[in-house]
Amino acid sequence: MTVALEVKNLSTQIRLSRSVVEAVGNVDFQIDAGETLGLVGESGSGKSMTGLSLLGLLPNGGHIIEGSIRIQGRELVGLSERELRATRGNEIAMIFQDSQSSLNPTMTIGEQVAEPVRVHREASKQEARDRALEVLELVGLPQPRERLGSYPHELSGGLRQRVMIAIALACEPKILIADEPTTALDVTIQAQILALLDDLEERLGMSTLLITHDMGVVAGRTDRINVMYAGRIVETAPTGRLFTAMRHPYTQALLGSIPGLEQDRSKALYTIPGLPPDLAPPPSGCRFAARCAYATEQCREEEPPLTGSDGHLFACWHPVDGPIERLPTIVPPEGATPPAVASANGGGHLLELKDLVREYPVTAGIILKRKVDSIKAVSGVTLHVDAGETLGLVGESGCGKTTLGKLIVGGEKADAGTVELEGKRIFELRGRTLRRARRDLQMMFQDPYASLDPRMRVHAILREPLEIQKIGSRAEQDEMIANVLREVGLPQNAVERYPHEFSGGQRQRIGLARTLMLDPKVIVADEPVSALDVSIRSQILNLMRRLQAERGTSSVVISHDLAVVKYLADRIGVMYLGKLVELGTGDDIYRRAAHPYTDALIKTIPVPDPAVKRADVAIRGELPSPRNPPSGCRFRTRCPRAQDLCAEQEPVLREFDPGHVAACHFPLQTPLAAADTPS
Amino acid sequence: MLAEIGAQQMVEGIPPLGSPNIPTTAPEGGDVQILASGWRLALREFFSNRLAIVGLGVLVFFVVFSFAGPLFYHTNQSLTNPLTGDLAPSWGHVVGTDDNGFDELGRMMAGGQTALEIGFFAAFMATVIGTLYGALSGLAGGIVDAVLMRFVDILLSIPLLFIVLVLATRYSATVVSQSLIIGLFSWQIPARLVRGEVLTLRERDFVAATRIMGGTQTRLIIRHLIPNALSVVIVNITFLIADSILLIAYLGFLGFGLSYPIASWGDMLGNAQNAVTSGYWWLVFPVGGCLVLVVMACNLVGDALRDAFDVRLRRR
Repeated sequence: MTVALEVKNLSTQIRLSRSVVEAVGNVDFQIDAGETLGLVGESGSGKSMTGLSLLGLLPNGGHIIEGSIRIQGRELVGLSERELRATRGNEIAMIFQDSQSSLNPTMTIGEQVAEPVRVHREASKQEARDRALEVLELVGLPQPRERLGSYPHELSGGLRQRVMIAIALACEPKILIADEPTTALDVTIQAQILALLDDLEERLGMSTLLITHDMGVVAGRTDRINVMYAGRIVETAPTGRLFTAMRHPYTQALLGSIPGLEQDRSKALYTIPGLPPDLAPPPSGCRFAARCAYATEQCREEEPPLTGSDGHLFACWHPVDGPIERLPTIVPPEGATPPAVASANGGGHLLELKDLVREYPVTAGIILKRKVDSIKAVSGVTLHVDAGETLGLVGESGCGKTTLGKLIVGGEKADAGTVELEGKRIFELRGRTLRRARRDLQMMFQDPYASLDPRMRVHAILREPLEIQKIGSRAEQDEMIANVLREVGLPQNAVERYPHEFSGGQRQRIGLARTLMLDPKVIVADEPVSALDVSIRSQILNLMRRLQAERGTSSVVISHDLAVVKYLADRIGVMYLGKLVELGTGDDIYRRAAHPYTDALIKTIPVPDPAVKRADVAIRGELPSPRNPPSGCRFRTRCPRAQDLCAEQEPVLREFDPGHVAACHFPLQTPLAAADTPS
Repeated sequence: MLAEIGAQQMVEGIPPLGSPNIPTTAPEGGDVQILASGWRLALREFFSNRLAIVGLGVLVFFVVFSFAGPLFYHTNQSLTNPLTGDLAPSWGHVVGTDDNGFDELGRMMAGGQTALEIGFFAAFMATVIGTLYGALSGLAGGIVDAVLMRFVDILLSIPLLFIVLVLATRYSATVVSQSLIIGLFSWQIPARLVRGEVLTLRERDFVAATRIMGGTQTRLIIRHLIPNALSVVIVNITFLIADSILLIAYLGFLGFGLSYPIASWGDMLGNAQNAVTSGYWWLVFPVGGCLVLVVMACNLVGDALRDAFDVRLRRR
């Protein structure tokens, strides 16, 4: 087999105004023709910098300080910008993560796909256009001829990503670098794009470097995986071996800390304590030593070389043997400190949502703003949450789960329907009573960077809820802040610091601390961990789990990640286009899914286990527009089981097990009472 | 006191759940890196800009020159004396005298005082009005926002010089009245800037968080929106100062400046219109130079501030 790409001893530095960051250090790897190599690591591990080094596209101040990059024997390091330009997009091409900002909004997609052909092959306009059409067809863009003249904003995220791939493939590169190609996409679209990449590789015989943070994505799709940590490759092995017989503690911990769908809820997740090191300058010795359970003096002083045999190399003085045993540590058993919150309305539910509707008007005209249409974000959702219970909400982006969360805490006003807390319709209150009632419903946000006011110290951030609600004297407030900080695992000196001085995980802890300040009855957590790295994610998940058990607070956890929801929630609701399509316990949903959408969602989630056979793309097509949702069952346009009835009649929720309901005419399970079928 | 408690509790720390037994003194969430605050970073960036230092130096010089200068360089600026009119620079009058016999250097100092006072006062007023107006408009949104901003558009379409001219002729032209007039009619630009900033800020999660806690609109504006829009406002202040100083100079030049005996650079330039042809250069170039220098210095400082705030997020 010929070697397509060979990287030897590559080191890249980025010069900042006051320091030099060693972003990539002594990286070696090679990709054979037709092979797919996975490059896995957390943010800041240098994986993207490695990709950019290959293309000579390093950011300002970045440069390769040593090493060699050879494409089929031809050296790239040291080439002039002109020679590099001739290589880029021609022999080696890249797919970027964010198709929104990577495509030029002022050029049609036809022009953009044709551009590399015009540049590298000096093709005529007509030839380039023909080639563009050919490639767009290849990447499965529906109606490519009509779409040549479309602008990027006219396409959905999944289709834009296909266009990005088409641009990369236009000149038939030998090497394709895919940097987080599916991170910004929904799972159902992700499955389609990954299947497309697989298929293209096979047909075109390209070599691919797949850069990702998601172990699930690389598991089924690569021949070999490199694991990067703090700028170094710490382990490289054939895919199967890496998952079943890893030797580096970091790989072991990384895989151990991902909550799987099979995760036992009563067990804590494995976590990697602390944060990745600052690489300006990098620590001496093994870079993982500070967070490693097996570290000794030797690790802190001497850097381990990358050694091993049989194509399985690792850099560790004290290698481990295979995956971690699940830890015996158990989350304080549920019910041990029973959340004895007696409902005020005598046995009713703590929180009850009835037929909630939220529609955003689409207006025309600047001054009069006539309402011409509306986006149906939430269309008649009925739910309840009991005291001490955690309800999960899953669905793809645009399914209305975030809007529903905001409706619960009163961040949005419902157009119809009611939210009742302990039997009281709190959002019909006014003025002071409303403010008082808001105490009981608090929200934790997704983006730890946007949810904290950058101009306020942590002390002021945590004191604000108390100030607004006029709780306690200053001294009492200080004490409450200190207690909550301890509860979420932050040092006390945090109070004097500004949000930008914290890492993402720490900020999320501050966000959680702020919601806890008012000791609410219900916490709505909107994508609490989706902005965090894998190793930090498990820390936050464990923390949330512990607080659930200790405080007995009810919560609503919203996420696109079924594994996260399944780990945190007692019951799970699946949403699709503003409707609740299925509701049940984690096992109901995962093992006995009744709705075809739920089933497809579970099948498309990439599992970090190469032994699991990937299902074929379970759902085709894209989410229909919420402006104009399909008649009858909203899922029918993508449903494999859809029949005429689905377009005519909207299915109602039917019971499949006690407490397990789904809205489908042709469910995968038999409903409990056949008499319940809609007339 | 707080720091002491902090140190104690840091040692206790909660052992990380689920992790292998690593002896750790750090709390579960890890320690906090101590970095400089955003403002300090911006300040550092500002002072690493040479032009900014020059601009700041020039401004400081003119403040000292105008306000402390007269304490050391005593001149008569109230009684005219035609006998000593239009004298060329000499040891007695370093920059000569004008046609009324006033010492030109002393008059430059007095004019500098009014220019700086009016500049700062007008800019301050415009900023306060503009910031509140813009924040309110941006936060309210919808019809209120549309009406408020159309009002701004209308005001902006009337030439400022025209309004100020009309008003200046109706009321006695003192430093306070002139600054009031300029301040009351130049807040539209800061209002637009702040509104734009607030429109993006109000979609941020921390604003939603405050709402969900039950925070009032007033709290939102004062505690969250304005502090976060402040960098834009601060940059704009320097440009407002420069514009106000220029405007007051126009007025003076056109003969609608401050009433006698208050000195202003614009009046001095206006009075010296014929001096160039007579060869009395000292009545034109020194004053003109002062005006150019102060306005340029304001703009240099403003540019540097804008750069300092812009790169704040990019650097470490």
